[in-house]
Amino acid sequence: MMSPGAPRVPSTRWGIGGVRWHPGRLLLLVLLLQLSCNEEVVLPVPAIDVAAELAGTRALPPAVLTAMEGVYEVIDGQALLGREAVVKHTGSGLSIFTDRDAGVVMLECGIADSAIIVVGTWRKLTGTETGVFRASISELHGAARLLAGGTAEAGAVTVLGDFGNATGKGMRPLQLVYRRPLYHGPRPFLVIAHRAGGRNSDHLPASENTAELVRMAERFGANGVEIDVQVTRDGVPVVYHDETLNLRLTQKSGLVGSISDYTLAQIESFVRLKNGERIPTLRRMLGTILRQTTLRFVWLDSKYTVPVALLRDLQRAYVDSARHFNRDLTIVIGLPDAEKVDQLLRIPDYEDATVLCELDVETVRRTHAEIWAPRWTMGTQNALVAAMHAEGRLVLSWTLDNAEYIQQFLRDGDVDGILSNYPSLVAYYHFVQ
Amino acid sequence: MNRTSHTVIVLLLLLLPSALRAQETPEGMHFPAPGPVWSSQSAIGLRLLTVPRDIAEEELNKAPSIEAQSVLSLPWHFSVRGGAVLQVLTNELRLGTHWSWRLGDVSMSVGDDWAFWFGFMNLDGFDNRANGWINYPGVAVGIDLGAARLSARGEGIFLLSQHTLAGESEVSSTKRMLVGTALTLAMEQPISRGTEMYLGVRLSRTKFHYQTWFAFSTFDRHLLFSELLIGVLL
Repeated sequence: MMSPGAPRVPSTRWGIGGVRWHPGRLLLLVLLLQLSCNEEVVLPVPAIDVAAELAGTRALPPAVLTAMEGVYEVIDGQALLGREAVVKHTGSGLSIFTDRDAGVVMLECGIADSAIIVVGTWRKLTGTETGVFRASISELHGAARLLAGGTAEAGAVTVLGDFGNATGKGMRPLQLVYRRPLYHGPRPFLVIAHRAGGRNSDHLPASENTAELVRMAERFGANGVEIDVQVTRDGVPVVYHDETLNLRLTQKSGLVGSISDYTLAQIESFVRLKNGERIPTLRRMLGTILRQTTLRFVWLDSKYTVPVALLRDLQRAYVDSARHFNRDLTIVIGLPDAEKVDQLLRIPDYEDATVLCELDVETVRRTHAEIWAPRWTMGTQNALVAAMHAEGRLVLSWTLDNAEYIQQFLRDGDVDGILSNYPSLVAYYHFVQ
Repeated sequence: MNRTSHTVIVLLLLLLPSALRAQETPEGMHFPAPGPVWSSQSAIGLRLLTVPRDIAEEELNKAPSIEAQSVLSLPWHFSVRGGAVLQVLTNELRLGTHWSWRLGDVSMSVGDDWAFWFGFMNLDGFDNRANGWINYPGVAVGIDLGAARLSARGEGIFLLSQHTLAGESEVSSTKRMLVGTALTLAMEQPISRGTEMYLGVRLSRTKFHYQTWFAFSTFDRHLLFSELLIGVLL
C-alpha cells in the first residue's frame, strides 16, 4: 500500500491476486461498457378490446360526434387530463387532447340504451405511460340533448367514467364537464404531424413515415402531415427519412447503404420497418391520405437524391385526383436546401408548383413559394412573418415539440401552422385559446 | 473578450493549483482519498459523450469536450474540487466540497457539487442560448491496487433551473427535481515516470443532459448517456 501523498512512480506490482492490470485491457473494458449502452423500450399494450366492449351498441352519427367537440373542465381525472381537456371529433370517433405530457386519448363510441358510450386507450407521448379509458354520457347528463341533434352548452354535458393503467387495474374516476366550444381563430390553422404522425423514438403503434401511421394522424390532432421522400435506384419515390438503411428505422435486413442503392423490388423484398411495415411508395402514401383520411395538407420533404421534377409530376396528379374526389387537399413540395431550389428553378413551369421553402425569405420570393417554413429555433420572427403575410404567403414553423414554446408561438407569434411530433399538444393549445 | 478567451481563462484558473502545489499531492483526481493539507492536483483531458439514439437520430451522436479539473485538500479530510467541461456549444463549470477517509487500501468520500451549464447555438437555422444550474450530490469509493487506483462515484442529478432562448422567445423554468443518476468508473495509473493518466467511463441515466440542450428534447423518460473520460494528471 502506498502512503497518502507519496509521489507515484510506475510500479512493478502489476497485479493483485494473479490478475494483471493493463491500460490497454482496461480501455477495452471501458469501451465495451460504453458501446453496450443501448436501451430498448417496450410499451405495454392496454388490456382492452374496444370492438368487444362496443358490441351491441349502435353507431354514433358523425354529427353527434361533432356536437360533442369542446373544451371540457376536468373534475375527476386531472392526473391524466390536467384541468382542461379538448374533445375533438377525429376519424370514426373522438380524441381527447391534454397538456399533460402530450397526452392523447383515442376513443370509439356507440349508443347503448339512451347513453353515449366511449371506450379507448390513452397515451402520454413524452413518456411511455399508456392505459385504458371507459366513460359514458347518460341520458340525463346530455346524451338526450346530443342525440336529438342539439349542441353542447356549458354545464349541460357531463362525461362520467374511469381510467386505469395498461393492465386495466387501479381504475380511477373521471368526470368531464363541457364548458366552451373549441377556438377556431380568424383563419385556418394547420396542425402538421411530423413524419406522418411522429417519431419512432416516441414508440407509436406504427413506424414513422408509413401509411399505417398517417391513418392515425388525425386521431393525434393533426389536419396535415409532413412526409420524407427519397427515390430508389429504379426511380420510384418512397417515403423514408434517414440517409441510410439503419436500425433506428428498420429491422435487421442485411442491407446497408442508402435507399438509392436499391430497387423498389429489393427494398420491398428485404426491408421491413421497425413495426414490420414495408417502406411505402409515395403513391401509396398519397393514395392513403386521399382516400382514407380527411387531412387537408401534405408537406413532401424532398430528401437527398429525389428529383424535384418527379415530385412536381406526382403533386400535379394527386391534386387533380383530390379535386376529382372533391377533397380539400393541398400538397406542397418542401425545399430544404439550395440544391433543391436549383432543381425547382430548372423546371420550365416551376411557378405553377405549390412550394414550401425552408430557406431565407429572399429565396422564398425567388422560388415563388406559397409557404415560408423557418426552423422554430429562430424564434417567432414576427416582422418577417408579417412581410410574408403581406405578400400573400403562409408561414409554418418546424419542428416544435416543447410545450412552453408552442404556447409562446401561438400567443406571441402569427404563424399559420406548426409542424410537431406532438400534434395533440399543438391542437390542445390551439383549441383552448 | 470572445468565448475562446473565456475558455482559455477558465482552463488556466483550473490548472493554477497544479503550478503552485506543494511537493506532496493528493492521490489522483478521481480517487477519493484525503490528501496532505493544502496540497493540490490538476488534470486535463478529453470527454467523449455518446448521445442516445432517441435524441441524436441519424445526426452525429458523439460530442467531444475538453475537461480540466483541480482538487485542493483542506484540513480535516475536506477537499474542494472544481472542474470545467468545455465545448462552446455546451459547457459546464463545476465546484464542490468533499469529505473523505481512508481504511487501508480503500478510500471513500461524500460530497456535493454545484454546476452552472451554458451553451450557444448560432448556426444556420438556430439562434439559441441556454444556461442552468445542476446539483450533483454523491458518494465515492476507491481501492488502491498499487499499480493502479480504481474508483467509483455515484451521483444524483438535480436539475435546479433551466433557461433557454430561441430568437426573441425565451422559456425559464425552476425545477428542483431529481432527473437522474450517474456512475463514474475510473482508473488512474502511472504511465511513465512522473506521469499519470486516468481512464474512465461515466454512465448517466437521466431525463436531462446539459450537453443535449439544443435538441430541446421533450422526452420525460430516462435515457442512458455514456461518456468516455481520458486525461493526464499534471
